[in-house]
Amino acid sequence: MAKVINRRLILNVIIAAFTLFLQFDSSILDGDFAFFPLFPLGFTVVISMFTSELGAFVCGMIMGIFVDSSSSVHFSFNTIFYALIAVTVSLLVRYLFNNNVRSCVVISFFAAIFLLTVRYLVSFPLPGFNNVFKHFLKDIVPSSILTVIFSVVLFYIEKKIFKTLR
Amino acid sequence: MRFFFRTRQFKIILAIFLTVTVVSLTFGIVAHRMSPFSDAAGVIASPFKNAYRAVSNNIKDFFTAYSDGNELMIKNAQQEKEINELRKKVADYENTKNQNEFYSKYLGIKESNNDFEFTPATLISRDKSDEYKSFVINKGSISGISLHDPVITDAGLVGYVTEVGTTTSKVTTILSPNVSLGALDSRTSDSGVITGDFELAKKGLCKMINLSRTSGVAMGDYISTSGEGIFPDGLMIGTISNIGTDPVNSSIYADIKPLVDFSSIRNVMIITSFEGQGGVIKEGD
Repeated sequence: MAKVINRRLILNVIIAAFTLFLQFDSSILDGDFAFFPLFPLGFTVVISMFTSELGAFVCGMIMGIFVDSSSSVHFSFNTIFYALIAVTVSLLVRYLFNNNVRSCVVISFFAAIFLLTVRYLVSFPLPGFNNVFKHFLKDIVPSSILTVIFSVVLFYIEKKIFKTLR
Repeated sequence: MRFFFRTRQFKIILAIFLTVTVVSLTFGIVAHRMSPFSDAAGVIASPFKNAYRAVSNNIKDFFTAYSDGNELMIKNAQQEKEINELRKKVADYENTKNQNEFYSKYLGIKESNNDFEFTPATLISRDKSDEYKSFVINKGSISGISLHDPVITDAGLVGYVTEVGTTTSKVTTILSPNVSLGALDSRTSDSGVITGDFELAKKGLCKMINLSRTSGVAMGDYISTSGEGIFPDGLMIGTISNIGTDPVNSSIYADIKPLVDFSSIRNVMIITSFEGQGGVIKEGD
């Protein structure tokens, strides 16, 4: 049992490192992107769908801490919100949603919308509010859709991992 | 779901969450430092990021050298092996040459500003979901970096340090609306304030606001720092690409095209000390 959990943990650590690499690589994948998916958030949402509330919380918090070490947002924003989102997702899947790909689409979309909107509102001073609606439609929504696509791929990978290493 | 809030699990989660939040916010708001947790994560990830950065840059440079010499390679098929070996050497040479050029350009800035003290740093990660091109460098408080230190390249001003960790620091660029720095038109000496704008940041531009209606600024003028605030005077910022009138207060504004290409930054210099540093911040505080 412990061996299975360890193998699952190792695989998930590798996936987590890969999502952080995709998000913060500054050489090979560097460029000017109009919008960009939140890879670590997609991973956090998917992993939270398959674990207990405490497991999801720990995972969300660790991902948030690593995102905060590279992200431009200050005051541990990601640590706090990744942990909150992870616990909420875990509770939603336990009490309201079924653990399937449709839930994954809905939850990851709204999680990305929520995180990006709050980040925009929290991070920038008043001049930044000028284009908030435009920003929402042109940047936040497309970025959230891309996050959903990545989350769906991860969902199937994670499902396979959990089935194989049950 | 109500049951969950009465469980031991929920109490553990709440306790950890409150502890982490309070500690992080205290470090962030009071000390303007990275939270100890993110700092530890940065320290753990930093060697991996540095190693990856070095390898990926070499791969990029090698392939650039390879594609540049493609025509020669077709003509001299039998010398392919020799050429490849030479290319490797050229890539190494180019790296060394670039580094020498990098340092010699800063030497020029250093010679004209004797009071400047520099610390070189390398960009190790960039948040691609950030429109304002902020990034993380591989130097922190143990290298003498402190909050609000100006960051430059040989081309001009990049931004300033907004969060310091032990081995890494976060840099906010002049494209961000959080930036507000005094600037001068080098030709007319008209003064204004440089700040970021969401729409302009997408085009890689920033804005110079509060220019007097009688100012004689013109397209193509060079803009440099005025020495007010956290930046020393005379650092080149960019050129004026557009001029308009603010509909609210009728002052003139100018769109500024920074001299620095934020997308291709690899190495930067942090000005850790200069004459008059911190004076204005203390007054503001």
